[in-house]
Parts: sequence; structure tokens; C-alpha cells
Amino acid sequence: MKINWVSYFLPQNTTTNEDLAKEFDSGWDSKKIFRKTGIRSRHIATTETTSDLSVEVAEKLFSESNFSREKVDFLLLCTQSPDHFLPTTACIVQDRLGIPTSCGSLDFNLGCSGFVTGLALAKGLITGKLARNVLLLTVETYTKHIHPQDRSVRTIFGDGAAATLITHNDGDPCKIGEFVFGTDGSGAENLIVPAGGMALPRSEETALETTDEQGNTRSLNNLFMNGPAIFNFTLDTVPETVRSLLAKAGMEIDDIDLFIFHQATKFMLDSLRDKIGIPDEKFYFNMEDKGNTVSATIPIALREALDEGKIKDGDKLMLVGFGVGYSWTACIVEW
Amino acid sequence: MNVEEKLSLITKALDTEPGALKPETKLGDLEEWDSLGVVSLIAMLDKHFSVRLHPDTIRALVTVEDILARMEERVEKQ
Repeated sequence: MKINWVSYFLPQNTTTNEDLAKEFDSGWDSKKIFRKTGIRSRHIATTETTSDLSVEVAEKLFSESNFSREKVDFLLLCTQSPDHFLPTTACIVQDRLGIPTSCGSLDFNLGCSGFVTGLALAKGLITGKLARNVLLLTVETYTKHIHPQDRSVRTIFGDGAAATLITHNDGDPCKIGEFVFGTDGSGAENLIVPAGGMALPRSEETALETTDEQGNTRSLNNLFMNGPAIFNFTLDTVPETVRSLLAKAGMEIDDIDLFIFHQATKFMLDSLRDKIGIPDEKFYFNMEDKGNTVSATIPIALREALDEGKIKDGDKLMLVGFGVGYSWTACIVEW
Repeated sequence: MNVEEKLSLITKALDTEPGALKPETKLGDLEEWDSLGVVSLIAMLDKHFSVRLHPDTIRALVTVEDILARMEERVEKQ
């Protein structure tokens, strides 16, 4: 069992730091936004929905890998911006891609921990002999949740889609290794779109806009992120997760060739790297022209690292996803 | 660590003009006192003082002096 192929696709429209500096006119010039976030530009879905981006990225994967779509027997789609409450977006995508109707499909709702958790689901399906070729799509259009006048999240998030093919042939070694999982729903309110579900349906009241003390405007229909609380959560959780995964796998930091963390912000990644004590050259950073694309950041970074020649056959990678929920998952993959 | 060194760490974290911060400076008057500024401050206090700022503590910070007070609570980590 192995990760056979990774492709990604980004919507064409972009928002640069210059665009944001012009719009907000609040003392943040474009250089300062870059210094604070490590991001210069983000891709933004306009008319494209999650199923549109899913189809684009999966077609790209089939074309680049020459893998026949006829052989896909399970489709996993991770998103928090589905086309509809129901039906399942993965079902729509199965039909639009022409994947055989004998394929199992499901959506799962996770954010930044979604890719690594998706790898765990794929491993489970394959190990349980329920599937052989799993297509994992991690696709997010978070910017549709964001209020245009909320600088705190507009500077960070971008839209993006990644497709990852996990395949198994009899006798193959298992290259998707140990996992560590974590969940702490006590942090639910710190990264949330409060309205729109059954607990609080959208109404005129939920659409009322308020402006916080930092000048960011949003309504209950929009994404809210308590940045300081999320930052504390990652400092509390991620170093310990890395340590426990290394212990579980009987490895040390030196045994890992490349660490690919969820690309949250440059500042957060630098802080985590420093706190855990990972050497700079083993820590991959790639979000400058993409922003935080939620569950798509890790596979996008993985593909870019491959294209840059930073991953060789036999390398051991540690992948760590953490965020909304709170939810976190880490695993070791051999390339 | 003396007050100037601590002020310099706060200046770096908040990305304010060098020399602009005084103990009596009101944080609410700084345009840099936003969520990213707070996040930088959390990281700085965690790294240099092993002090963790939680949301309730952050809300109680009014002046730069209140931050300096947090920087005196523990011996700096070597």
C-alpha cells in the first residue's frame, strides 16, 4: 500500500497582499501582511463549487498518473464547504468523473486534520480488504464562508483542491505507517461558522453584521477564528503529538527525512518547529502563493516537495494536520 | 533581563516602531494590537519566559506594563 500519486488544482482568481492593503487601508501594507503570515497571494473560488474543483483536480490526477478511473473503488471527499447539505458531494463527483457505480463514496467533515485522517481511512479500507484503490479528495472553498471585511481570516485562507491516490497490490509493503489521533471538541467555538446548520439556521438575525474591536466585520453566517486560542491549542498539542508518534514508531527526529505540517501560517509553523526542535532543512514550508487551503495544504506541499526533488524513494515523512474541531492527526509515510 | 531588553522583545513581537513603546503605552491605542500581534506575543512569552497567555489573561492586558509584569513571573529558560 502506498501513496501512488498526488495532484493539486487551484482556482484561477487570486487575491494578493497589494489587493488586501488597498481594500483595508488600515496601516497594514503588503509587506507587513507577508511578514506576519508568510503569504503573498491566495487563490479564490468565485463561481466554482467544491464539486467543480474536485472534478478538475481528479481529472488532473488521472491525466498525470495514467491511472484508470475504472479501477477506483472508493472515493473519499474531505470538505467543510460541500455543494449541498445532501446529497453527498462525493456522489456528485463520482458521477461527473465517470467513476464506476460499484465504487463506495463518502464525504467527511474535517478541516486542517482532514488529509492525514483521510489517509487513515484509506489505510483502514485497504487493510480491511474493502478497497484496493482509494481516491482521497481534500477540497476546500473556505473563502465562501469569509466576510469580505474580515481581515483576520482573509489574509490567511485560500481555496484549493488536492487529489491523492492510495493503491495496493498483493504483496506490496505497507508504506503508510503509524498514526496518532486527537480530538478536543471543547475548542469548537474558536474556529466556527456558527449559523447555517440545524442548531442555528440562517435567518435575518444571523445575517446581522457586527464589527469587532480590531475592525473586522462578520455575521454569524461567516467564518470566525479566535487566532490566539487556536495558536495556544497548537502549541499545547502539536509538539506532544509529534513526540508520541515518534515514540509509537520507535523513531527519533533524526530518523525523519522531511516534516510536512499543515501549512497554517508561516509564523505558526516557525513557532512549532522551534518548540519541537526540528532542523530547518527538514521542515517544509510552502504556502507563499497559496495561503492556508485547510485540508489541501499537506498534499499540495507534498507534491511541491516531490517536484522540487526534496523527497527520495525510501524517505520517511511525518505528516501532521491540526485545527478546527479541535482535531489533529499525524502519521509516518515511507516514500 | 532589564526593562529595555524586555521592551525590545515586545517591540519585535508586535512589530511596532523601535522606541515607540513605553510601559504606560495603552495597547488599545496600537494598531499592531490585533490578533496576529497577540499571537506573536503569545509565542514570544512562551519561548523566552515559558509563560502561556490564555484568552482571559489577554483580555486583562491594558498597558505595556501589564505585559512586562508577565515577563517577570518566571526565570528565563536557558
